[in-house]
Amino acid sequence: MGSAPGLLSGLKVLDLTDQNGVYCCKLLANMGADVIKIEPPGGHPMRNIGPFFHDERHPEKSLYWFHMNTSKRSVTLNLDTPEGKKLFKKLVAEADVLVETTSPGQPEAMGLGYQTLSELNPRLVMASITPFGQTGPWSEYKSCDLVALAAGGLMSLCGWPDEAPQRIAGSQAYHQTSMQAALGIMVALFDRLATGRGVHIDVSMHESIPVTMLASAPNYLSMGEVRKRDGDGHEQPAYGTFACKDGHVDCRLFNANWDDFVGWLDHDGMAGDLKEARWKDPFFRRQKDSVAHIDVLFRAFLAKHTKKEVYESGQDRGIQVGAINTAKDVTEDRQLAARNYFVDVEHPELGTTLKYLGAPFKMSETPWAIRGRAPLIGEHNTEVYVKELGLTPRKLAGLKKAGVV
Amino acid sequence: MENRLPFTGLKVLEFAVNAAGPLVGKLMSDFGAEVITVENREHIRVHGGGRQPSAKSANLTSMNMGAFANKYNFNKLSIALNMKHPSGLAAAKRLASISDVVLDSFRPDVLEKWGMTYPELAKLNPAIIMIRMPTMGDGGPYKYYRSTSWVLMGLSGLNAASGTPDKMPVCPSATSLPDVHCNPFHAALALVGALYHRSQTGKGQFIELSQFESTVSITETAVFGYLANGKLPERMGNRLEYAAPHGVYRCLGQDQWCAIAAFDEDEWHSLCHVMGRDDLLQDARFGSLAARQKNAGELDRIIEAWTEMRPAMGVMESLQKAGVRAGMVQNVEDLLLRDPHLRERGHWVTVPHPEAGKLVGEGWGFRFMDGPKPRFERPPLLGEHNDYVLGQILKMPEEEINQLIIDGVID
Repeated sequence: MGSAPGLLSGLKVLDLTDQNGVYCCKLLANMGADVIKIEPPGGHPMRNIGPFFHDERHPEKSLYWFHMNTSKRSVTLNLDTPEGKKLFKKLVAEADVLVETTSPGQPEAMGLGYQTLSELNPRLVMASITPFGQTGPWSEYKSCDLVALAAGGLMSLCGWPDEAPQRIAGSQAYHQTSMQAALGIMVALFDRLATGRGVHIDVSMHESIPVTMLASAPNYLSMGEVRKRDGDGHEQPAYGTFACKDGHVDCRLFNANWDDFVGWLDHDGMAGDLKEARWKDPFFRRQKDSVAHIDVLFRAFLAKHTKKEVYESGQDRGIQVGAINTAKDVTEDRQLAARNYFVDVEHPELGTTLKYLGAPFKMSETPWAIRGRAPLIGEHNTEVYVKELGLTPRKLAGLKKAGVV
Repeated sequence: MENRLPFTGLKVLEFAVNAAGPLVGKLMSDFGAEVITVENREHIRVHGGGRQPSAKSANLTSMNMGAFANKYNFNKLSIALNMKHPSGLAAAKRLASISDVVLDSFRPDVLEKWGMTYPELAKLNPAIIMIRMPTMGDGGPYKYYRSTSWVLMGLSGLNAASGTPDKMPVCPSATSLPDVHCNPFHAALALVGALYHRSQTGKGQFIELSQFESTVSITETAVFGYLANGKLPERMGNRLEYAAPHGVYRCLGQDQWCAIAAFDEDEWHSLCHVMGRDDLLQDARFGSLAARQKNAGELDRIIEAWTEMRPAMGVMESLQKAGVRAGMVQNVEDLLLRDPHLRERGHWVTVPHPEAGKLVGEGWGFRFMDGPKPRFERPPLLGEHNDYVLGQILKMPEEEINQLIIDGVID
């Protein structure tokens, strides 16, 4: 840990997010910003989300918290008290970015709306992440990852046709919204270099999701096709998810790779009649009986090989095929290992070092880097309130007693 | 009021097909950059929306009817350039030398073969920002492996963590998620970041996004949980450890569904009340989150007995008005034609198009209040801006352009 200064080093970000924005602030923190996570006294509710380190349910052992809050600092602050609000305004006066996930109108009701805060600090970029956005007929509605995937349309494309639509693991609606928020903030920071002024960003989870539906909208307009969930494909030969000797693989055979595919099966003497010229016609191959015939041969071939063998031998022939990796397989992947993707992060309190997911992108001048483990509850109260905001230690002790921090 | 756009004056040279790369370019073009997408006629398959020839799309063979191009190329300029011809390559390099950004989402060997690597481009243009989005990264034993988004879903561990244990891993064929999710969004974030850095320091840089690594980065605790505890994630389908109910329920009509979730006792009480089932509040099987988790199957059947008698939108609205999280599973037609919220917020913008008749542009999940608004100019026809790009931007004399036409370098 510790490395060249990040892209956003020198920028201060206040993180008042729940699950719907926490990844946004993680991205900013690992891009070098000084992100201060503001928790209610006693700790943020996200600390109760599992899994937990060694399965010990404890607010300082949530792996979800660990993952989402790398490189951040933490202060505790009760924003429902007048003293808490005063302190918050002091933080805002020094901040570049505020990211918050309260419902529309709530910051104003607390006396902490954008208008008020931007008067204190005209350079402030404030991102308000909400389920549906600040305006519109559904703006008061509540949401969560599952509801956003449903209402935003992605779920209509996921799952099996004969059962309920399915979510994808890993809170992808929260991720998508957080990435949109981070991108909006980055554009606003770029623009601030020219204007010298901040801006209020309205981030809507509902409006973040439709972009994930690929070409559904233009296909609907040009062909009237309402794309629906269709499982894992199989409208073409060797196209979808298949079982193999020790698990599953995903193969997407394209026309251009037909000869490679036949050669692949033939290497084991398992190509059957596929070497015959009639199979070279892609339209013939797409007929239902043809798909079934080719897939029978393919499945017999796959049954003899492990997913890793299938992945490597298929890819070596240029076929777009991959192992459906379990979490364990991912941690043992040769490519990730060769590129040092995983990152060690020390946890002195746990007496151990944990491996973390690494950088989503590499920048030659301003690297993304995990600069430290997630903070403990209020770990940086003294550092932030006394050393940086100039409160006396006595004042801080008083605030603690009064339940403000 | 004049719509001043943040990226006005910036030039981006884009080498990209499918969705991931073009979506990064679209962020830049929507907010004012001059994005030149380098195309040629061989792109027909991917322009066609990734579909292979089929009876359904046989009448959509025009280069200007491709679903991907018509979704992701809003506000861009198109130059149809034959990169296999030395003059085509030379023109592209001249464009790179005056661009702020070169965006490359081709296979890793393509621009390498053209000599358009970052060190080469930086010689021509020291402040250039180059962003590449190779599937597996710019090195490593699998550098030249080719993967679709579906394969990436499998490789990253996302598929194996999704769905239920009794079924094959869920890999949605109907969208290619990482291509329209983590990969363009991480890349766009890095790119705007690099522009921010350059504005302050004058320095360009090289950005490399491995689509594989970017996808592993959004697995939340599925992979990290294994790294820390040595345990595989539980495949829970639509359920969640800390909410119950948490599911998708059949509603009245053909393939109609609504997602419903209760994260605390208040939401659970409201749900029972709206369903007219206050009796459930006295039922020990559902008296706590733990109890509801334990009896989730029975709970789901009770809820579905109520939802399947009602239209999905009615379920959503009646629950939401009572403070319960609920969302109808909307398909693309619902989103485009019926969703009242998207309509009022102007999420979709219809623009005329000479061949398609009309196209729909899509806004972003973020909007700047009292700030810049994205543009919605229709995507270019193939090669529509040949003359503009060569003549106005490169200041190429007319006879030189004519020679390129004669040589078949542009069409």
